[in-house]
Amino acid sequence: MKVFAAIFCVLLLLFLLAPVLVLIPMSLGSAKMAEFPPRTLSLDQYRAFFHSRPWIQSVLTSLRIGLATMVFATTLGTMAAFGLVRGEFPGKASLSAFLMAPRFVPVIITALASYALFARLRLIGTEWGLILAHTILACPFVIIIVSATLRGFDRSLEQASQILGAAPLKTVLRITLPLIRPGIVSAALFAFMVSFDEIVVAIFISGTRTVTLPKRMWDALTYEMEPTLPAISTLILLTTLLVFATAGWAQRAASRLRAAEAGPKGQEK
Amino acid sequence: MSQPRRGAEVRLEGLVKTYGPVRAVDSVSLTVSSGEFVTLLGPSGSGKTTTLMIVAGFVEPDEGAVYIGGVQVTETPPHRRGLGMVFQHYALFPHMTIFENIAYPLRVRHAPKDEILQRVQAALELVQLPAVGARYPLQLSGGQQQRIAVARALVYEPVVLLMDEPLGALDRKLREQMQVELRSLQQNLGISTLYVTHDQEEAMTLSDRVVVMRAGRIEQVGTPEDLYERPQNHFVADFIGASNCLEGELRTQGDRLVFAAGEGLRLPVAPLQAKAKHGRVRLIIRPERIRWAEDGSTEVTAAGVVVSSTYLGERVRYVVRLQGEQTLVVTHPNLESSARPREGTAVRIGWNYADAIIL
Amino acid sequence: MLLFSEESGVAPPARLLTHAQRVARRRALGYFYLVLPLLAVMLGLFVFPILQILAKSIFEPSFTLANYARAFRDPIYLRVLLITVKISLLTTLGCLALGYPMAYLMAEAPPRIRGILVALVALSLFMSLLVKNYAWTVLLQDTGVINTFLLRWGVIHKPLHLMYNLFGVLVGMTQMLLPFMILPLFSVFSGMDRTLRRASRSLGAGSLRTFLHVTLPLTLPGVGAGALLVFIVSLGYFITPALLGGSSEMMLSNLIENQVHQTLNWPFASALATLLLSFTTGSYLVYHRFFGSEKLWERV
Repeated sequence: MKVFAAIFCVLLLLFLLAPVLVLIPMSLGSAKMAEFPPRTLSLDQYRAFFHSRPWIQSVLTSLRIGLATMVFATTLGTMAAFGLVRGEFPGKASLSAFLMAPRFVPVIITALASYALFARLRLIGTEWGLILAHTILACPFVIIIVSATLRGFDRSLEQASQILGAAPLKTVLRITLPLIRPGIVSAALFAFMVSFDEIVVAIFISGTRTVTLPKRMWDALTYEMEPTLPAISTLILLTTLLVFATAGWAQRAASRLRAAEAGPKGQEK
Repeated sequence: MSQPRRGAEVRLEGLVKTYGPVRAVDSVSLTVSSGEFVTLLGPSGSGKTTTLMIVAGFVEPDEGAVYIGGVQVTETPPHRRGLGMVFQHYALFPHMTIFENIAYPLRVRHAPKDEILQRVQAALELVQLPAVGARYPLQLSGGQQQRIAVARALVYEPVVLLMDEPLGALDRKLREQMQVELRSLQQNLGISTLYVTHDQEEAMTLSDRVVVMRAGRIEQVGTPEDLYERPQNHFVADFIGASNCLEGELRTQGDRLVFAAGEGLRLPVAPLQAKAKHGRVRLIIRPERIRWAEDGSTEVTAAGVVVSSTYLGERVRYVVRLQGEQTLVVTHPNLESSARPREGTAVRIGWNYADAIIL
Repeated sequence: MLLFSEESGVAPPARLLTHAQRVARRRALGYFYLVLPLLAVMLGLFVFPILQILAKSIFEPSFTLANYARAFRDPIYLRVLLITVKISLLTTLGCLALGYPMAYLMAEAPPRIRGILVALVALSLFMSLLVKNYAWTVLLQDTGVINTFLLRWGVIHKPLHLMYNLFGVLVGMTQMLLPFMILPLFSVFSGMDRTLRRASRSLGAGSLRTFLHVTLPLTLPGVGAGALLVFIVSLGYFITPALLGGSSEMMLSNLIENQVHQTLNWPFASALATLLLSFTTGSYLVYHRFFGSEKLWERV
């Protein structure tokens, strides 16, 4: 019985992960024709990718937009998280729910709405248009992560800081922020990935000069076959893995700090 | 930590704090004299912590005022009150070294570097932990962390020290040790201290005066001896130390006052004790004040039967049943010389008029 | 008669707010200001444009409901609506069939393995959507990996049509939405009181009976929540039907995109978008009514 269970788990995991694992070996094949399994092993696809001006441009575009989104979403989201977790004002619960909306509204609708608005503001085909749209999409995630961190924060540390003479602002800067930094870093990385991987809005508001990496992939998938796609996919996967590993590590550092704050029982002198 | 500084006077006038329908602090007035150690004692929900938080400035009172050193600080934010405070879970900053933790209040006050060095070192020596400056709070034991918290609270020589159940997280032996150290430290420095605890033994050990609180109100204020010997109501009598409580009536029998309880139990009462109260009263007597009175050496005697005898190491505890089904707990120190009546033995117990309290 | 006196019956005004109240009010306002920038951005860049879409659907050029009528009357468009619901339902069923046992097994696994399983499932969730879809095209094409191997081994003699049809879309969507079903169910299973099952067995009930009468009812709320979530997210799916489906698998979001980019019929596209939004919002309200919103907030 346990054997069946194990087989089922493995098969299901393969179902979940294998499609992308197929791409990694494929990426080591020839740059002219994607095949599985690759007949000869080489880094041709990667070489071709790094030598391709349009693809590198797209990577840089995605990086720029991703980093800008990260900065804006983290700033707006962290401030909002503070306000929502610590504040007591009427309508807080509804406001909280409202700010989560971009997560629950189908992306196509956000894309359509942004398209209509940005057309009038002449932001179509610009990096700023994408930055604004991606910021909206990323903020809910930042709020969720930073709120969770804040709720676990020991407020007696802030009280101690104040009674020792530090004004509230100084307390936030020297005590609160450094201690919730892992959570903020986690949220920032998440915001970056939301932007880096985003495709539907990009389909609507990209232009000839602003082509993000996913958009270029989409064009390659819908219009012409691009033999270096396995390599590109692998690179994206590695980036995702790296970013989420870092975020996960940052979260664990945060919980270690929080667990110890509670204070160990006294034993010896 | 040069010479002992005079502590400041802390005066609380008519403090009230309500949360919805609950009066967490209900008309609390209190004065802590310069250099005095006062403890707020009470069960959870008694308002002791809220009161402390009002003095610290973290809770704004709905009514009333707080004066420190004669100056009204009710509307002053906590960071400007110049108080020292020690928290139950130490609240040491985990991302700073011990040195930086203690130096923090000095840095906030823009003290010069060599002064910081000197004062932090002096603070560490004061709590007998001179070598841990470079370590992080998480690397120290609970007892050590608590000392550092004290050092940090005192390094900038505040005139008032607040302590919120600081020893609550420590085990018993360590706690008793720290109590002694805290008390001597406080006396040497002469700093006015307001301490919060639910542990009555701790309150008795540390304090010049104890404030017993319940449901937001002050039940009684006094020295530990005052509270123990002369509780003003049943709650205080029960909260501080163990006590026997008999309910009955005060009657006049001829020219004497008598406490009557149950069926036929009659105990003489000195007129002084009764304070001319008549009707339903309580008779309170501490277990250790009751003696074996075989020889009639006490002013009051009663006959009874030993129902149980429990050996507690340093003491032996007996439960004696008196006439009329009332029982009393009697404790005697475990001395070779004392009699040890066994269960079922008939005994005579007694006490002097002054040992009993009528409420 | 004096203005404020016992005679007049008018009490002198007390100080309007106590210090405590003033501090509380100032604090609440301060925290609200922290939320304000994001709120402003959301209103301007999210709410306002969506309202514009709604307006476009009924006000171009003057008030009309023709766009909505078209969606339901024209058989082509009605078909799209129906296929959207059909695909979403089938995806939900697939996720349920695979996700329920998986979540159960994960919860039963020894702690170390459990951690790895959860991490792997979460990992599949975080991987780029486009990469996952591309991978399926590579696998499912007529000249793709699966067909190549099956042909090579002689299992089949001509390629199976695994893509550009309902099968391809369902496979892709199920894979992508499984974590949405597995993770909430896993937390339900983990939180379930195991002793209840043991009690049932000790009372003499067999495995099947225990499952039907103890385990299933207790996990039903989690099942409902997970299923509803998968269904709602499927409704709005765009990339997978576009890449893995044929023309008869065009879902509502694809139709919207088509109307905007190909037909340039904004009012109609707006009406379709409003329909999708209404349906999704309605479903979330149902979700909230039955399951509460905490589950939605917790999961990232």
